[in-house]
Amino acid sequence: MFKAEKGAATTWVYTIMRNITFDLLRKVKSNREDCISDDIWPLAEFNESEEYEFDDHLQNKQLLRVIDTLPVPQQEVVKGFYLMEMSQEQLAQHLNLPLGTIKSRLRLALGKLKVQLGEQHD
Amino acid sequence: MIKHHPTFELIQSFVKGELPASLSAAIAMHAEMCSVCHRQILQLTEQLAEVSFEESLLDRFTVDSGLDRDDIADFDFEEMIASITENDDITQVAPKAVKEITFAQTTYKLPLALNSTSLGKAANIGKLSRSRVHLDENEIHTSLLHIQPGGGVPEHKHRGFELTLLLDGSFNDVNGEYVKGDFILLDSAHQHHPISENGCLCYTVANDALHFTQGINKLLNPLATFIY
Repeated sequence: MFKAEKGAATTWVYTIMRNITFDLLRKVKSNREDCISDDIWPLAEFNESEEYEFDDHLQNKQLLRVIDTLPVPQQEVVKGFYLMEMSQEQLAQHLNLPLGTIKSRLRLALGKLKVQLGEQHD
Repeated sequence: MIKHHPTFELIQSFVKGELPASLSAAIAMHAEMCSVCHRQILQLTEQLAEVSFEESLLDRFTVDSGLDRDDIADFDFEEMIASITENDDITQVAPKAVKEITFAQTTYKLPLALNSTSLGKAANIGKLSRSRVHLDENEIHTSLLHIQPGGGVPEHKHRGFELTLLLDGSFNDVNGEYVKGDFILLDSAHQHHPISENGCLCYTVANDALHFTQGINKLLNPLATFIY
């Protein structure tokens, strides 16, 4: 998928065109239907982004500790939404609560986390 | 520290998609291990993309087949965009799983560039194992070559070109030591005798059989086709 932060749209289009042409020409020449261009020129440069992503385990630990100090109902919502990546609707269904309650608990919890972690962690 | 890199011209052809798959894959693998070449490739891709979309070039593709201007004016772009963006579904690209290969009880991670390429069964002679990379490029043969500790390839030269990309381990020849990531392209003028003290795994591309040059090793020339 096109991602603006990865560079100009022309680069993206160029990459797709070059890759498709490469596979097509191989197909014509050797009658092979493999699509290896995406392996050679990957569009999703995930190896690069992973390489430079700095996993701050100290900050993660601190975050988890602070989350654990929240009241249990708020913990459930924060963990479900951010750690298990459930949607607010899914959480509402799962916890058998109205959607509005989920939203307000999440807002409350985030407010508390902000106070605990200090304003610089916005 | 990687000392041997593909030349600028080679990287340029790679970005343009002009090289055979075997060599393209080699440069992609090298770039996976070499941030210098990786950055150069990103830069060149951007430049080439920009040049390719320059207006003077695009003019050549303008189709002017008596299509009425009014027809174009009538065309409802709004509707086209709306129907494209109507659906929010996004095809999720599955993350590529890392494949592995085992030679002589050692398991290696395969470079991403070889993810969808099929590999042949390993054939062994002494401390050498070779697994064919099935790219079907006629006289260009591509293989994974594994050398067990203390093994080597007898003194030989090349009739065509030979590319060796060190995927793991190290080896030595008269020109010194080669390490993981080194991209070594030799032509028929070269003669060498690589030995791997601690074992290594290489990706090799050659367009003609090796030619053993020394004494008794000349008897091995039928075997040269094994490595080719």
